[in-house]
Amino acid sequence: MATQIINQLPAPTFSWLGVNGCERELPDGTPEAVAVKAAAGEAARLEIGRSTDLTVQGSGTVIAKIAADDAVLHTHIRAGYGEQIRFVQIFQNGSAISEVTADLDDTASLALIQIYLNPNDLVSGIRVHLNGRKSVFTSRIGYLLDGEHALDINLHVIQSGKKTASDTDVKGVLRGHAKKTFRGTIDFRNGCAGSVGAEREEVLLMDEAVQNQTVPVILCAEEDVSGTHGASIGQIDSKHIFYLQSRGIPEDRIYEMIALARLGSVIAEIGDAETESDIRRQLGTEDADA
Amino acid sequence: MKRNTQVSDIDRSRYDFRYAEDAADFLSSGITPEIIREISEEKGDPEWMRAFRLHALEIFQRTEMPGWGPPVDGLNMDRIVTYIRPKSRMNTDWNDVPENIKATFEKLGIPQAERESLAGVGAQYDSELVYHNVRKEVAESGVVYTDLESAMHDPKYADMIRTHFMKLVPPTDHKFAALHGAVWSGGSFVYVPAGVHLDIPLQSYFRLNAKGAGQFEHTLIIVEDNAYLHFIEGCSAPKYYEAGLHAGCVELYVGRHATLRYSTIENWSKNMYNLNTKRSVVAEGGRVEWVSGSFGSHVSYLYPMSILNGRGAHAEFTGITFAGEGQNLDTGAKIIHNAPETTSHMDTKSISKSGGISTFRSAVVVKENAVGSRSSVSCESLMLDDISRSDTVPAMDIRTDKCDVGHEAKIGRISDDAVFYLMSRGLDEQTARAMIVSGFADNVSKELPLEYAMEMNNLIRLEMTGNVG
Amino acid sequence: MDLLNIEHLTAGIEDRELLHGVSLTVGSGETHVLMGPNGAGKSTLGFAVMGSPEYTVTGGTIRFAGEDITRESPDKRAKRGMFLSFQNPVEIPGLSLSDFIRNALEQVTGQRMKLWDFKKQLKAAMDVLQMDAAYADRDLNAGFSGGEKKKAEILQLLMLKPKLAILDETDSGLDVDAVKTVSAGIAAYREGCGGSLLIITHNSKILDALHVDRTHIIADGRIVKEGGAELIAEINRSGFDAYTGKGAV
Repeated sequence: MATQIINQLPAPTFSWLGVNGCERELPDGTPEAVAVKAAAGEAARLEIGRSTDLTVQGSGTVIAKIAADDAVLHTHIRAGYGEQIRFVQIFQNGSAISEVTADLDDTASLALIQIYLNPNDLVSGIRVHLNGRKSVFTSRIGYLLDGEHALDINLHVIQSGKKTASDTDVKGVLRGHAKKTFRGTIDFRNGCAGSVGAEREEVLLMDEAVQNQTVPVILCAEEDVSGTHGASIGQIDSKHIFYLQSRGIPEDRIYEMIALARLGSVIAEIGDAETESDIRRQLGTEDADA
Repeated sequence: MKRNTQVSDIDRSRYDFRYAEDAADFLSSGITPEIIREISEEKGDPEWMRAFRLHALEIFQRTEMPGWGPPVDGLNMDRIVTYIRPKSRMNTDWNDVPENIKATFEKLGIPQAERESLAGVGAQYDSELVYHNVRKEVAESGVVYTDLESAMHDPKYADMIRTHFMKLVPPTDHKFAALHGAVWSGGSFVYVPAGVHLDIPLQSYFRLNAKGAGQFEHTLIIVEDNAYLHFIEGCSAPKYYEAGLHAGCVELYVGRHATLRYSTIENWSKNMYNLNTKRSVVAEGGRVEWVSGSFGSHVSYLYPMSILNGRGAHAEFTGITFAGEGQNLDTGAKIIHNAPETTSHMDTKSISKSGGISTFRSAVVVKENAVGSRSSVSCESLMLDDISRSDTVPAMDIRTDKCDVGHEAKIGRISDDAVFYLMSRGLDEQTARAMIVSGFADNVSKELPLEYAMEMNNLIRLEMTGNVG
Repeated sequence: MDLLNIEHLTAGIEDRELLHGVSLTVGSGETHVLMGPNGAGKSTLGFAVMGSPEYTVTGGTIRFAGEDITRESPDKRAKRGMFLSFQNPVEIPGLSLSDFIRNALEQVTGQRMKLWDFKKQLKAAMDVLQMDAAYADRDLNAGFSGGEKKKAEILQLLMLKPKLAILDETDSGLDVDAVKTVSAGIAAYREGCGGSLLIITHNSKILDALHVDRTHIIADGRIVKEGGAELIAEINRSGFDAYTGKGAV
């Protein structure tokens, strides 16, 4: 095993903050190679339990459920001209290092949905190259973290094609002693004229011992772009609490409801009823008889 | 498709940026304990200060350069060494001042005597008369406003300076804080007694006296409980120093329920490396308000830090950075919430033009004990062409659930509609764009005293069109 | 017995007092109207009665069915059978309208309704309000138009069946048809469970279909006049000037 700094911030900052990267030991072993050709209609479903090198091509939905220990998952997504890929990752308990890289050609689109259901220790890197003209990347990321669990996400969207668009929405809930770092970088390269990029993270903090790091970066070397970044970290707005309380819901239940609602809005983006129901049942937000 | 399936590639693929080269070695060469002793001797330092300088030098020599930020390998350390050596001061004169600086003085309409002082070549700029009147009014209110070196020798303040000097920014903070600790020279000392509300702003402009004093100057301000002070540093005229390095240090102590507003308009000449460190600590119910305009320098590292140590303390940072041709300006702010119910607000604008690079960099830290704290950050960047660069690198580190932290960033260009609208009312395009950029900067200009705001607008006009007004 | 009994209520935001000793009583099954000019304290009263933490009650008492609830949390008040419709209900992405109502119903009644029964009831209530069934699965108030939000509030009223409903400007910003629909919803609530109403409004369209028992005029944080339904007509004719000091000059 070798210790390495991974998930490095594309533009490093004050070192005392400790957000420039994260140190992990890389497990040995040969990954299993899996190639998926996405197609219209029924989603391709994968269950991943060990180190895997996954390649995804075509046009359609691919859903990967990941429950593994000490695994390294490398996913490469190639969306060719006009292709539309929806790639869903559901991280369950266990520890893993995941990296998703994607290359998008002209007018291709990638929707990335990541749901983190309280994994023990997860390092997740995402690097998307919007090389193609009018290529589009949207991501919806939801996490629920409790106990001593740790999550480290590094999202880097490189927009180099003309008129590209990216939109990232992250919603998360931290409880117990959970520790989370989210680095999100929109990188407008010179020549990406007409491109737009947006990113938001909303973090709900539910216990006093949680640790949250949010690093929303915009790098820009092009004039004709529009980029926005937003982050909102804290407790539930007192107006929300009052509204729900006034309908009879006690405060501790409100926190549960809002926490699950945050994740629920990401689950709803999966676009596969069976998978969505599975997760909701697991979270207890859907009755078994529904 | 080109892809290596080796697992170890995961990491290599992320190493696609380079850390700035370690410049520590070449920077450390040349400054010796002998030089420091000479400086200390010449200044007649008390024993503790001599020891402090030598200790800071040791720290300087063993400290590495930060692994982030703009490159500083263009610094000419030999020249700096020569420059700080007391017995071999450089002999610069007006003829050595670059033409573009002279032209800017001309355009801004700065009197000759002042020009020479600003260019670091003239005799002391004779502002004593104006300054004397200010001093009289200030003294009557019980406020001490003097230069730091003479305060250190005054038995009334010696202890106060010893207990505060480089306590907020220790030489271990970073390489240039250490350098500052070793070679600092000149600067202001302000003491505002409890309950005193000083109506007129104090302006360090009037202190710009001895040649080169602005280079490693140290500003120490203590505002006692329930007092108020507005301190203004710098001016819009370009300041020129042959040696090309400014490593100043500002330490602000804000008492309980006191307010300190610290305004800076900085326009160092474009050969300068501005590696300045500013920090404040705020007690219960106190406020620190930074207003900061960065226009000059070749390279800047500037992130005023506010440490909110008392319940209900508040920090505000309003800034603008304008990076033009040949400039790499890395600016922002740091806020540490270290007590319950502390609040902070950051509002920054940055502009990049003609190949300039501007980076907004910030840190908001909410510690475990900062229960009930609130922070909001808003930063907006304007790209004026496609050969420039504008980066936004904020970070938030939150360690309690009972807080509310918000961040908003926006980047874009001047809208064609806005330019068209102004042009349809008869303005030429250049003027229209200059007006829009001035408007963009109004977060800062509206926080400045009128004459400073006008100066700043002139400066923006000058950067945008090459002419004032 | 009085259902709602407010005595000498003083309340405000931070250091600013907005209600200066308001007393008001609503009996079981009665319909009351609270009218007043902008800024008179109408909404403040609604929020204070429901226990919003934004407003601080500095004096007086609020009783519901004889019990002092002045310091009670809003959810306890809701469980007692109080309801406040919001002018600007909050949006909660990820929480569907139907899940939310089912949860609230479970809290208020203490029983979890069978999913099938719940869906049937919800459908019936939505029909009254001419709401598209698809709204049930949409996120709570997220992306709803002004009219849709008002309907969603009345839908909750119909489902939760409170003993007292305080409707805060439920008619504002609605077109004629929407006002009719909302009125029908309110009528259904009255018929369905005979609950009391305190309707906060500054216009009377919504009152046309209702039998009003009593009218209260509030101005500058004080109840300045009380009377029967005839007071509404008077306000419609002459406005509030007589009560705001403007008319006295």
